[in-house]
Amino acid sequence: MKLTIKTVSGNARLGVISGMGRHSSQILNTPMCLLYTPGGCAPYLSKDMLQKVLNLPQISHIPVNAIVEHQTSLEKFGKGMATFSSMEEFILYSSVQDPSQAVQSGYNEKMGVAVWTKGGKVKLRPEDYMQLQAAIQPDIFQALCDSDTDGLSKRKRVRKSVSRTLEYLDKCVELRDNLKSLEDSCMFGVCVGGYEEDQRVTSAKETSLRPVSGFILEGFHQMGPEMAEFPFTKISHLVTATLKNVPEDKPRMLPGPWDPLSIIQAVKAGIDMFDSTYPYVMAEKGQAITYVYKQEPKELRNNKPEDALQEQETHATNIMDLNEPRYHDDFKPILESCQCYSCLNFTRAYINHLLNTKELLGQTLLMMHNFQSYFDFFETIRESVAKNNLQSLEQLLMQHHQDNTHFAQDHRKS
Amino acid sequence: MAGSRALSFKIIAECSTTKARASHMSLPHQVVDTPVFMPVGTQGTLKGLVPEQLEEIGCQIILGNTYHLGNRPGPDLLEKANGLHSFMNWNRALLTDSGGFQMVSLLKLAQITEEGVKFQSPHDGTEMLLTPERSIEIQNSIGADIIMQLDDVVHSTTTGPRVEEAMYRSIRWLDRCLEAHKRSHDQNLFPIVQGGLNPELRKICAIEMTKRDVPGFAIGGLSGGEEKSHFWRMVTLSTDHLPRDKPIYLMGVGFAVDLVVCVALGCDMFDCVFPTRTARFGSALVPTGQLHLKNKEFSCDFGPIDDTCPCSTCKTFTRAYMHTIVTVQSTSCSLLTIHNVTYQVSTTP
Repeated sequence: MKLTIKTVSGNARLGVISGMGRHSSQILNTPMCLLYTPGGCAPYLSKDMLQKVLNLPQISHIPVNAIVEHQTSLEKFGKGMATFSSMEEFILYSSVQDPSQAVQSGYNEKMGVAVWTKGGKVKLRPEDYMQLQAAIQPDIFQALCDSDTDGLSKRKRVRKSVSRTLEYLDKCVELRDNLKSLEDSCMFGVCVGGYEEDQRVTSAKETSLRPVSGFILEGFHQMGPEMAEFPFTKISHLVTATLKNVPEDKPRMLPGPWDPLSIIQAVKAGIDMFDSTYPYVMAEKGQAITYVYKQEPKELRNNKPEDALQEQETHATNIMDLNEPRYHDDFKPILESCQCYSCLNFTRAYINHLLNTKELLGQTLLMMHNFQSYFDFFETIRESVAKNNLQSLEQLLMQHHQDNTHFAQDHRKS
Repeated sequence: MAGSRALSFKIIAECSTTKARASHMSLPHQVVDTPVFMPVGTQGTLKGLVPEQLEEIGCQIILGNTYHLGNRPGPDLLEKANGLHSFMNWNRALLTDSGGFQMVSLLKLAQITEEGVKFQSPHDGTEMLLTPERSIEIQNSIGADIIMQLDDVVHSTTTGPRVEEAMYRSIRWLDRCLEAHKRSHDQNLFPIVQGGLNPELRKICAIEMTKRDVPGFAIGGLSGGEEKSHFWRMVTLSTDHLPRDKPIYLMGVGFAVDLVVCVALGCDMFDCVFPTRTARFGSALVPTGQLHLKNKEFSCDFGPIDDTCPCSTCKTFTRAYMHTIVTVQSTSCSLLTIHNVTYQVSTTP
């Protein structure tokens, strides 16, 4: 894998990733996000529905917890998870944990890491983990790590997570050499260190010395739906400290359900890759992403001035909760200006009804809208980095955060 | 479609040995090829599938449940939305039931009187009454191509005077429904032949209902656990006494075998929740029965669910892969629904 930086805007980078093993003809533009595909499929979306989403990321993200129980089938199958799940056209990335689910804290040990499957907790030692990855045959994968720390973790625990993560990494590096099916796979090292800045620096420096193809920053939060409201500004100093101590020419990933404003701030700090658990987490709650970030509002379909005014009002909230009774008889699409499948074909009232009656189609339509919004947003981010106007994009989003008080408070503090 | 009739039924082929026939049924939104299996989209949606997917599967007509839709989103909202077609963005045919059956089977304290069905609102416990008039009114708001009369339905294993009472009441309620129907120009009201497992009562009911000016008929009160031999007999008796030149809808049927037999007995339309319901539990319908994909036996089965099935699920995924996602990943439900509905819809021709 090769990362070429094309433009730099402060610490933000516009990059191109190429030479991805089995997918060597593909190039990836960063900053980018992955396509969240737990168990090998996009949530709620069959392949034909998924194909209706434009700007699909080229990397399919599969957390291992959904696969652990099926390792034997996968090994018998022999051709890897991408083929098993009929996603061969995607580059496959597999992670230790699923960022859309809060990790249950306190179950990692010196010996190995706990992942949570449908059948319960499974302990993975580096050797187990690498055997699993050998069956998955990913193009990129995360090294085994102990990222079970957050803002409340004691220093002792943080130091343990740093040393364990390095031990696991070294073991993974060693084991990888003997696993033929991982020959073409790239391994990303994990920088941890909780909220202890010096530990962050240590973790980053040490990880940089190992033969890794990229860096994943974790250990800030237990992840899961609550993270959708966690502002990046709380950890920006830690991210900066980490990134100062990893090489420039390798991609940096920040997993987790980050809202668009946090994404911009993370890109400004130097992050290249994100996942797409945020759209999923929001869809699960019955919420649509309604950030407006176009400098000029797109032509509204009906061109009615009242609609434009309404649209501005709704945009002010960034998030539309379709569960709210006020949408019961609102026959507009989620966003007039959105070109996604859901907005072109269905109304707020219909989605409200589906959520109210707990029908699967409710989340399905929100998933499509949210994915589309997020992927379009990354297009805009890349454009902004190229044009060097990330700052104004950030300001545009911050303006609309005014209604969301706790966000506004936190972001103003920064 | 000629004149002011909202339905025209054209038989294009008839079987020489059985009562089976293939027909074109023209409805306001769609020409439907019969025999037809109608998947059930209870609350204005079919288990995670969008209308476009249903069209791709070949669905020409789907069902909505008046009881559920009457509660949520409610007839007023549906009127505001210009009907269920517009609300759910389904442009082909819709059929709604009367709400009566659901009421009786779902509500603990439903009580049948001559006036209508008395029940306690599931939301706030207040006493409510579903009359034939109210059922038609709600169905008029929903706007389906075919609507059903409110009938007094008894369980098929019930015996005694209750069966006769229900049969005659259904006829009286049919007349009230016809009277209350405000949209006969674009909505087709079907009567429902009752009479339990009593041949005499069935015959009387069919003959009486035939006297009314209606575009089609339904056979009700069967497929509720009665013995198969009784079931067939009542079906064939009913079709014997209904006009051949109008469509016949056998309600609540059914499983593949039943479909084939009942087509031979002269029925044209069928519905059943089973394919969509069983998809939710990870079961796929196949010619030999059902595959419970959650079972370990499929963990290394690298063939498709059914190698004769043209659906996208069978063309894309293996049983082994489905085994890893059923009841775990949300996507599996729509994938199985696509398969099960395709299976059911293609069994009927």
